[in-house]
Amino acid sequence: MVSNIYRERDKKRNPMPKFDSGLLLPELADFFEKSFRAQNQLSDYTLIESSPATLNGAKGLRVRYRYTLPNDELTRLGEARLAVVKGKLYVANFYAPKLHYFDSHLPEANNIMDTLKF
Amino acid sequence: MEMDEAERGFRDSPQILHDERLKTYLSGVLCKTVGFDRCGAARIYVVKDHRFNASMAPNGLMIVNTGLLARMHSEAELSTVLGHEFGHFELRHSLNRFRALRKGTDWLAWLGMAGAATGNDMTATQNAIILGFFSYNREQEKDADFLGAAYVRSSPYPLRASAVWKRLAEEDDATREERKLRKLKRATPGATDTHPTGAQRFAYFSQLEAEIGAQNGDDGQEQFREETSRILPDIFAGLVKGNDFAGADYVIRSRGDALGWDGLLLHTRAELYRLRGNPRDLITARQFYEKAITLPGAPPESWRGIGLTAMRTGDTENGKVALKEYLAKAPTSNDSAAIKMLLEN
Repeated sequence: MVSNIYRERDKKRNPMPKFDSGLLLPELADFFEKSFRAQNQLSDYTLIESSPATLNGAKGLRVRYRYTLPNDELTRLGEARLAVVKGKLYVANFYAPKLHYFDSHLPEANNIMDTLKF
Repeated sequence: MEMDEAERGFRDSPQILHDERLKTYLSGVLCKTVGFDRCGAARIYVVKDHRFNASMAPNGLMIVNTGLLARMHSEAELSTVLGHEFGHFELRHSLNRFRALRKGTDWLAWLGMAGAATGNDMTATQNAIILGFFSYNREQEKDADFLGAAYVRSSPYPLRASAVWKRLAEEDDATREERKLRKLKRATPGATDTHPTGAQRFAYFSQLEAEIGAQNGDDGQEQFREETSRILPDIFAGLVKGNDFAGADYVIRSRGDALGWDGLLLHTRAELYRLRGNPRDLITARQFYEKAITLPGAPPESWRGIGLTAMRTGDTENGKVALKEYLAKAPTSNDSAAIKMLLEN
């Protein structure tokens, strides 16, 4: 069974954190951060806020964050929703440059997350 | 000109750790190392990057990674690295390389043209390429090592370079062991290696350190501990939240062994264990958090850690008490709403 958010392409050089269904709700933000950092090789990631939210009616977490990619000065923002249903983690993630794109597409992303079915 | 342009972009970059006190402190160490008449040529920027690295451009822009600060144990150790980078600058290694590359083809101009043609902004690419120019060859690295050591020898600091290279090798061994990678033999460099091997550096620095008078002077360990403890979360964040558990644990442990454990450093180690989250890790993490709150400097997040690890291991009652304590100590924390929800269930 797959237990990473992102595919583990190089287990020895860039291992991905493994999901544990015992994680408590606030810890999903930590797990997401570790996964997102590893996938994008980030050194700069800041959690802005993690707060309760729903995903397909299930209790979950909304994570707002800010980051920059290596060798790129552009500030980027992201918003993810995470929920654990029957021991499985579901993640919806939207990220974009802070300049113009994040704000202009956030309502659409939120709409998709609100109506997501699985 | 290109470098100055790059520096302007760099100065406002979100990847820079903006902390005036830290910058002033690092400039002070550099000045004591290379002399007050020389050090004015350097402008130091601290970059949020968990890797061990520093560099200096031909216009005096000096970059110090947070990962470098995390791995140093005293001003004397820091002075060998800053002295080394300043050595490259004084020997004009980067300028010569820049010139040699510009002579053949004007890559920067071509890149700018390519950007204009495709409508893409290539500024970021240019910066990456400019910074990429400053890789030197093995002889130049060795020259910079010796010039750096000479600066330190004529400074008030004792020479403490070999320990840095020894620890880097041990950290790499720890990472490789955990990831089941073959350990490196570091006796002689491979054909494509740009630096002398750690073992070679360890050997020649040990020799220089054994010379008469090389160990005279105050290594500034106490001052270094104080100035870096203040910003510990900033310099350790990338290590703790990265995926190299064994390497990060080695770096934290060696700092604790050399500079002593305060609440914040022990909290940092607890976070590392909790975030890996193997069953035994949660118990170890809780012990570290509980010890941390008895020491000065423990942050409110230590109570968060106690609460979460307690609840994960079945001790719900005590877990909730600790989480309430966390909310009382940090009512406006960025995850207070999520913690409240956990407490309600």
